[in-house]
Parts: sequence; structure tokens; C-alpha cells
Amino acid sequence: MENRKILYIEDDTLIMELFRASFEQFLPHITFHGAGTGKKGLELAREIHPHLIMLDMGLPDMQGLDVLIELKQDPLFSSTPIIVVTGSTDSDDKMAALENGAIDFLSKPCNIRELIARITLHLRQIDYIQKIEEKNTQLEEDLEAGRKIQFKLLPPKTRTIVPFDFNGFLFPSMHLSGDFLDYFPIDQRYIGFYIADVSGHGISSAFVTVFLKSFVQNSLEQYRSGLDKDIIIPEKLCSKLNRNLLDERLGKYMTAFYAVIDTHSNTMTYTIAGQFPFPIVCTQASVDYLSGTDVPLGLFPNSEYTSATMSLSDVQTILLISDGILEILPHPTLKEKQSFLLNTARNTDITIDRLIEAFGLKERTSLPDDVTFLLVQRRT
Amino acid sequence: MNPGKIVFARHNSMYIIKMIGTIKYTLSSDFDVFIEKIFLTKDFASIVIDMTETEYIDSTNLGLLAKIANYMFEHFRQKVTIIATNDDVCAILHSVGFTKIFSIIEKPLECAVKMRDLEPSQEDSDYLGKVLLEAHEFLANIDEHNSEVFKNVIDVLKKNKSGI
Repeated sequence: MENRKILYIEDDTLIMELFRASFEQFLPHITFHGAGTGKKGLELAREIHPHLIMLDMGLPDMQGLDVLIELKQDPLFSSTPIIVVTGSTDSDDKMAALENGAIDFLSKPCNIRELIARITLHLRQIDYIQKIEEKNTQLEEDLEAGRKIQFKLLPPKTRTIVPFDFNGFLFPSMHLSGDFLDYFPIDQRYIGFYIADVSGHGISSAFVTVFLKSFVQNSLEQYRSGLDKDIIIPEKLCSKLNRNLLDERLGKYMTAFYAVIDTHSNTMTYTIAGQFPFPIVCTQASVDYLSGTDVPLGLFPNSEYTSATMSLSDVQTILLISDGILEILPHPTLKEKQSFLLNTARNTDITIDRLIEAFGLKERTSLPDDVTFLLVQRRT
Repeated sequence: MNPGKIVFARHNSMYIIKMIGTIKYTLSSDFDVFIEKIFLTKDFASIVIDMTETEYIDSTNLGLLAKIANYMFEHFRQKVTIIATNDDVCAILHSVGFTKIFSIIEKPLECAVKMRDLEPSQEDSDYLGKVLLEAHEFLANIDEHNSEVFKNVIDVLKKNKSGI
């Protein structure tokens, strides 16, 4: 308990000096300040910023309760503990003090031992609160640093990989996200892209997104070295990632959508591993969901993954949204939410900004779950 | 949103785990402890998950259902049965491909039991039939007065509680 200042507002000089002497004797490391009237007390408080205030209820110039209220209304003292000292045996007075922000009361005449014990207790609490606040600030700084790094691992918000434009945007529910996405050229012919949602959210899930990125990078390198072709075979990539996740025993799993675009045949081969809502595909004629029900990655040891191939010749847009969107849509049933998503894709000249607006994401101060968009559009 | 709870009951060699309301990650650590405990005792033969009163289940708890499925498959070569009559819950279970892993009954238990009598199922018909009958025998006899029959999974954390 270092360098604590206590202010005692009390008009009875005898009691004031008794308290001052007691403090000097038993709590010598505390600096004791006194004021004899409410007005002087308020002035002194604003000048010295005491860590704790003791307030006599029977002051000559102002009602003790009014001094208390004025102190508590001042943001300077919103978290300063105030102990009321009263000669009154009226419990209503004591209750009124507590109701107006006092944290404790002492009765006059006061047993010195009790006084010192109570003050010591309150000072200890001030210490604890300070420690917690310091730790919190440190944590916030750490998390912010983590968020910046995770952000750097994501692809650029916009990227052109001919003949498509890729756009991605991620809204984490906390500093760090359990969602992830990427789009990248594999070689002259193939393009890979994925969206993933790690179970849970926050730091532990964010770690797994880093693992995911490394895994895909590694697969890409294997392909480029001619060692294996898993990167262009979605069901194989998913199978391998499934086993890797289980082997790591992280207690985490992820839903994912992984697709490979073959620019020569103008087709897309994809695996849907629990990713929901399903991917939305827009052609000239229609807007529909793809479907697929392979299990998420990292849940079941014996899962088999499948892929489907579709032609991209009519396809203008592919839109992927993570399931965090479902938690912020107001519709009562899942079916209605799914229709809404489809209609939004249908009616909008889609851009990420228009989607953010359509779902009211900028106005939200907090999200129950991470929300991620991945938009693929054919260049005209 | 109905704040959720997870309760369980024992009937012969069957555990019936009932998930009520909104099942979020806040319930998951107690649920996980419960699962680990019953795995240790090894004195049961089947598990039925009653999701008829479930409104929503999140990813953390889906992971725990998967854990139960893996265990039952590894030790008993059996599928766990889930009874889910809520549309949204069924959609969630479908979207994560749980239909391949669990035996999911989407009708209320009475209908399912009657159905079983009338038409043989494609897979593991004898086993599934037995499980349904046993669950039905138990659940059909529950009324408001017997509600203490279901214990909260948190009770498992307390020592010497009967049922484990």
C-alpha cells in the first residue's frame, strides 16, 4: 500500500485530531488530509485527489448527504471509496448514505481499532482494483497486438486473380477471430479459395486459423515441388487437414468450404465441410445455394470427404458468408434467414460494402460471433 | 431465448441426455465433465440424446456431441440416437453432416416407435428398434410429477450422487 491519500471532512476538531493521531500511529504510510466544512472538503478533494474520503454527516455548512451526492456526481470521484462517519443511530440515515454511493459507514464515537481495521480493508481493496485495472490494460494491449498480426495473415481485401475479382472482409466478435479466409493463385491454371470457421471464438480459435493457413501454404509448396496434388483436390486436402487437426488434439474443429477454380475448363471443384449457410451462386438466370453435407474438419476420425464439380460458364458471382450472420439476423426461423440472404444476393449489385450495409454491420458495437464475407466475381 | 440446461436420466443400461432451450458454450464445461465421468464408469450400453426441447445448439456443444459419437463408435461400434423435432435444430444437424454420424429421428418418439413396428429400417434395424423402444418406455412414463427423474448434469460434479 504505497502513497495513499486520505481526506477526512469533519467539523469536530477533537475527533479530527484523534483520527489524525491514530493514522499517524497505525497507518504511518498514509498521508492524512483534513477539512472542517463541506465546501472546504470539496475544494480540497478536487485539489489533492484522495484515494479514500471519510465524510462526517453532521457538517455546519452543508448537509453531509449533499456533500456525498456532489462528490459522487463528479466523474473525478466516481470510483473513490467514501466512508460516512455519523453520530446518528438512525438507520435511515445510514441507508441513505449507502444508497447515495457511500461504501461503508462508521459510527461516532468510534473504536480506534475498528477504524484502523476498516480503513486497512478498504485500502487493500483499492490496491486489488488497481492491480486488476493494470492487468486488464496489459491484456487489451496484448490482444490488440494479436489482432494486428492475425489481420496481416489475411489476404488483401481485394485481389484480382484473372479472370476473377476476390473480395474478403472479416468482422471479429472479439479482438481475435475464429473465422478465416484466403484466396490465392495455385499456378497458371488453378486458383484456390476458402472460408473457415473454427469452433468457439477468441484467442484459442484464432490460433487454429494460423495453423490452417500454415497447412494450406505447406500443401501449396508440396504441389509446386511436384510432391503431391492435394491442393487441387479439395476432398483430399480436407481429409488431410481433418487428420492433422485430430492428431494435434487441440479440442477444436472447423467448418470449411474449399474450392479450386480451373481456369482452363472454366469449372470449380469444391468441398463443403459443414460450412453453413451454404455458398450462394449467382448466374444470369438464377441465385441459388450450393449444397453439400460433409462433416466439419477435426471432429471425426473416419470421415470421408467428397467434392463436386460445376461449370462456371454462366456464373457471375459466388458469395460465402460465415454462420455468424445467422446470429444477427432478426428473423425467427432459420428458413427465413436463408431466404433473406438469398434475396439480398439476388437484389443487390453485390459489393462487400453493400452487404455490410444490408446487414447493418457498421452500426453494431458488438457481435455474438465472427462474421466473414468472401465474394468472387467474374471480371467483365 | 430460453436459457438452456442439460439434464440426464438413467434407464437400465441407457443414458438419456436431454438438452433444453438454448445450448451455449457456457454449459459446455460441465457437460464435458459429465461425459468424461460416464465414459470412465463404462457401465452403460447406449446413449440417446433428446433434443425435442432444444431451441439452438452452438458449435462448442456440437463438438461435445461428436465426442460422444466417437466414443460410442469406438467402444461399442454403435451410433448414438438423437431425437430432434425442431426445424432449426434439424437444419443445424443436417448442415454439419451429423445425419451420417448419428441416427437422427425427426419425429416425436411415439411416432418413431410406431413407425419402427411397421417398416424395417435400412441400417442396424434391430439395434435402433431396441434403443427406441427402451427410450420410449422410459420417456412415456415421465410426467410432471416424475420430473426429478432427470438430474442436471452439474449434479454429477457432486460426489456420491445416485445415478452414476
